[in-house]
Order: sequence, then C-alpha cells, then structure tokens
Amino acid sequence: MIDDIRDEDLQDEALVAAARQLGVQAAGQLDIERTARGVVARWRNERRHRLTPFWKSPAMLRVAAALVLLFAGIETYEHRHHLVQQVATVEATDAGLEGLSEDQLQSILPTVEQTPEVETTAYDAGLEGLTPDELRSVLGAMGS
Amino acid sequence: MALPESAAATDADLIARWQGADEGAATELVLRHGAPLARFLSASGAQQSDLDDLVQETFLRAFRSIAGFRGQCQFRTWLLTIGSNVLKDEGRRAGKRKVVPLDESLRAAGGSPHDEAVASEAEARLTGALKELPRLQREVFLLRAQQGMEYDEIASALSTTPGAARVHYHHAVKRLKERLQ
Repeated sequence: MIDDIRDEDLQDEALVAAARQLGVQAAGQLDIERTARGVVARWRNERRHRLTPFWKSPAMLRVAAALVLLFAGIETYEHRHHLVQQVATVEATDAGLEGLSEDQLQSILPTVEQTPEVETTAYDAGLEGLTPDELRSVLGAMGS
Repeated sequence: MALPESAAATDADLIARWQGADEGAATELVLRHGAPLARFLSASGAQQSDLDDLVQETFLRAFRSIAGFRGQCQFRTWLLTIGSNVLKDEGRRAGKRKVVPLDESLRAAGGSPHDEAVASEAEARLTGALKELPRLQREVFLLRAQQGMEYDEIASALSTTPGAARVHYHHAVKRLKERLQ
C-alpha cells in the first residue's frame, strides 16, 4: 500500500497553501501575552491547591464541621431525652397525689408534718459526765 | 548584538527551567508555541470564542504531564497532539460538534472585498472538509500540511510508523481533493 502511493499524489501545492492559511486569522486575533499570563496564573493557582495539606483543604474542613455538628446534635438530643425522662418520672409521682381526695390528703398531711420520735439514750442525755452521787439522785428521781 | 536569553534558549532548556518552577520559562513556552497551537486548534474546528481557553487548557495539561515528555518528538508536536485531545474532550463535553461559522473571523486580511470573500469561502470549505475526515487523517494532514512536519516527527507524536503516517496523509489529500472539487 505504501509503495503504491506516488509522490505526486502527495503533492498538492494549492491544498497545502490553503492549509497553511487555516487558522491564521483566528490565531492573529488571540492576545498571546494575555494567554500566557492566564496559563501562569492558573498554574500558580493549581500549585497552591496541591501544596495545601489535604486536611486543610476546603473539603476536609467541611467534613470536620459536619462531624462537629453531628456530634453536637447527638449530644443535645441525648441531653434533652434524659431531661424528658426525668420530667416524666416527676409527673408520674405527681399523678399519684392528684388522684387522692381532699380527705385523703388531709389524713396524709399530719404524717408528713409529724416529727419522728427519737429514743433518748444515755449518751443523748449526757449522763456519761455525771458523778456516782449525781447518778444516784437521777435514778432516785426516775424511780419516784 | 547578543540575543536575549529567551530567544537563545531551546525548548529543552525552557522545559528544564519550568520544571524548576521558573514561571518565566512557562511564559516563554506559551509565547513561542501559542500561536501555532491556536492555528492548529482553529483548523481542527475550534471556535474563535473558545480558542483562548483551549490554548490555556492545552498548556496546562502539557505542564501537568511534562515529566512524561521524554523528547521523543519536538515539544511543539507533543503539544499539538495534547491540543487535539483537549479539543476532542471539549467537543464531547459540549455534546455537539463545533461548527466554524462563516463570519468575520474567517476573512483574510488585506485584498479587495471580493478576494476576502473568496478566501474565506475557500477556508470555510476546507475547514468543513477537514471535519469530515477521520481524526487521525485530519491530524496527520494538519501536522504535515499546516505545520510542515516530517513523517518521522508525526509518527513519533502519534505513536505510529512513518509509513502509516504517509498513508494517512495520502488518504486525507485524496478525500479533501474530492470534497473540494
């Protein structure tokens, strides 16, 4: 196939001349110095992004912020859930009293106000500091 | 008078400096190869309004993968093949074939209005015919006819053989001549 191609088949001066003119006008309208500045600026920008540690990249910062918000949300939810449970317990206790009649409440009130009686012991009475004579007189008084 | 440093530096020098983070070298590479790249992209079907962005994107892709450039071909040839990929990706992203309109941007500078009209019509017809070629044939034709590259160079850039590049060029010329008659 290659040998079948004659050199004159490949020579077409008019076609080549036309091909050489292709794009000349379009390229002439290009401000190549501005293009060069654009290339360097874009390259500099790319390099800056490449040199930024991955954990400082905007994407990673967004992920970190999202995680903080997520954990804060979970913590807040758990805290609120705990409070709701406490309130529910108190309400359940209150509900026990709400069911009582006025008479029943009146009967409960004295027991709540009543001060429990405490047995007096020798220590409470301060007997340990008495002399034998004083003790004898105390015992006599108790027996009378 | 001594040449300025940028004029004396080879592409290889500029690439080495660029790899050392020398932004001046990057600027020089764009100034040196930006216009031929724009011509190639325009002939491949890029619209004037997209040209600046496509040229920038091509250079950025080239700079990103410059470590993979082993000097198997000239920097410009390598850059043009990257530009072709950028244009293909852009066309896929846009979801439509780019149509180069017959507008003011295609008019040749100078000459009478009649000459300008004839020139722009011829250019538009050739551009339209090029777009109907298979991609490889179009690239080989433009690298050879528009950019003036040798078959060896084209073959290296497109990972093919010089003989195959010659066949692609032959088919491209044949089809274009049929289309333009």
